[in-house]
Amino acid sequence: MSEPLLKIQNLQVSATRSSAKLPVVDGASLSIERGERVALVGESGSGKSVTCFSAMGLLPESLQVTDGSIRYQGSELTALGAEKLRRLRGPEIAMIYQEPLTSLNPLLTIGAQLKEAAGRAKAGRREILEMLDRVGFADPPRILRQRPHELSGGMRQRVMIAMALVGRPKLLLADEPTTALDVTIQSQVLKLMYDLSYDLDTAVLIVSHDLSVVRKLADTVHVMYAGQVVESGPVKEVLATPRHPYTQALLDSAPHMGDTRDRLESIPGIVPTPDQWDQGCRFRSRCPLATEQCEQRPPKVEEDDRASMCWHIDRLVARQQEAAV
Amino acid sequence: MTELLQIQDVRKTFGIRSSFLGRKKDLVAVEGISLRIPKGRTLGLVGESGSGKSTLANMVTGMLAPTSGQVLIDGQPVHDQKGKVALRGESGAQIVFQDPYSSLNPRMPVAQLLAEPLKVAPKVLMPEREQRVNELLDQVGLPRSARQKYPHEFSGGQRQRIVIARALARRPRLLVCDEPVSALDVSVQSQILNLLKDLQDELGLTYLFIGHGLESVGFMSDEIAVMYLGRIVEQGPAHQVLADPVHPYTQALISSSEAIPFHAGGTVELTGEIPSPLNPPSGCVFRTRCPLVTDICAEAVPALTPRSESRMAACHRR
Repeated sequence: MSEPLLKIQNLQVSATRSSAKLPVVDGASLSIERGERVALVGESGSGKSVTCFSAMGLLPESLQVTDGSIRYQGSELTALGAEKLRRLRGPEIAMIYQEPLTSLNPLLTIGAQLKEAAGRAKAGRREILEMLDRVGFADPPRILRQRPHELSGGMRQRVMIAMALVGRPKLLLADEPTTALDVTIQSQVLKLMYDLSYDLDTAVLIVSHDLSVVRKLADTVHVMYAGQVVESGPVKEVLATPRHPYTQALLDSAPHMGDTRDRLESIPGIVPTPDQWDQGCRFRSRCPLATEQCEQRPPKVEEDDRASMCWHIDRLVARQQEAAV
Repeated sequence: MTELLQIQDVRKTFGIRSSFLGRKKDLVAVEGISLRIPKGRTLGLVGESGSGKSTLANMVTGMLAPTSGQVLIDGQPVHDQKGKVALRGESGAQIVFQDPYSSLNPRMPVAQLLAEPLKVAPKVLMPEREQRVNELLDQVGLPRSARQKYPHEFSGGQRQRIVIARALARRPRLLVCDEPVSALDVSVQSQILNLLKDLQDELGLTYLFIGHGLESVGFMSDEIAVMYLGRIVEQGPAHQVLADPVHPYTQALISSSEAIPFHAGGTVELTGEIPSPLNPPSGCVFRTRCPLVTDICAEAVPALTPRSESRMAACHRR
């Protein structure tokens, strides 16, 4: 089997605070094949965005990769110098962010900003206009002359997508790309990302806290909790029959259409902070299935293309079967 | 049944100048809206940004005066003839904001944040104020030890509890919740929604619940009103509207919330964006994005007409 496009193995990212190292991502592993759409879900503080940023070599100075590897097409990114990394960004790996207004320069026209992105990827005006048309602008030459404040949130995010994809990168990293948008615009932008990834054979790593976004767009999902990937597998299977109590709890706590429940299941307590992390399962203080055993490092249980880190998968499955009857 | 909130044919316009010397133009933010909420019930208001939900909420809380029409809380008008706020303290509405990070003063400890509304006339005096702060903390499920802490020491969900406690300080009967959970993590959202439901049962509160996520609005509400470009396009009992929508806009909102994977044929129901309220389409405001549009839609504004005993919708085609 050939090597995947991106392979993150046992990644540890730490914050260095007065000579003490505090891990914020702690042993995360995932891989992305060419053209595959992968989602990273989790709550704030789970380390999902940091994992995504480290693949781009864009960690803030206070954070460092302290262990593990990130391989892109066989070459080790963590060992690459700043200049070589910079050359990868754009033509090979591109990124879109949550807030399109703050990621565009308010003083420059859309055209100038697109040209900069295209130049790095050796694409010309023709490619720029084509891409603007592709992301759904009726009059691309007009958009080139406009500035960010003249566009709506949805249009700005389309510009960001055009900018990211104009160089036809092999991998698109998207950090909560639709969180700031309305539901209807959200589904337009996601569909656009899906279509482009399909047509251009671009792999997508999307970071989101929203399970419905994941369900719409992704083929594979990794669920992160307190710096670790606690469950991975095909989206359809993971969301139908989760193999980790945290995934189950996330699914149960969200209200859904036609909900007739009087109360929602809620996850008691809050996510433990990095200084509270230990060897044991980090979800145990909030888990309905937790026992003393959970104080020991949970095993990684793999089955076909699914994996999860839990001592009590058998009891979780039994509960699901009970609920189904 | 007695209505706690009555909104009677309310209209709100803003004068907008396109340039410094340009001519003033009227932006119609809210047009001819009438709604009622019975005591102890919840009305959910949904719509995209720019639909006028927040303008309507601001008229209920008294922050904006309607251009015409009036808002009554328990039979009393929120604004007097001159457009000044007439209802205060427990007789008016209080609001829970969307973002618990920006709606709490970072330099005030919790005890002071919660006591602040009690210092406004009619003033609540000191020993009683202390007691009320403790009571509020108990009600929203925060420990008494929270009193001396500052907002940054709390997580998003706990901050939203503080915001709710502050809104309850003056013992209002009507609470306007403006997207109270959209800034929170999924697992915390359900805690806050449950808390709001518990408080409603305990204190007999009435809610105007605003959101753009149909799932949470549906979960919270007895009735739902769907807004588009300043108008109500559909209204009725929550479960009926969500299960069997009449208006094509409601239908589109519901299908964008349903998560059908694109690879399994999931589609985008609504193309384009909400038009500018400075330049609204003639006739039905939704016609530029409507899949059922015909000639009549450009000519006449559809009226909000009864569709069954408890439901209303504004559409020529359905």
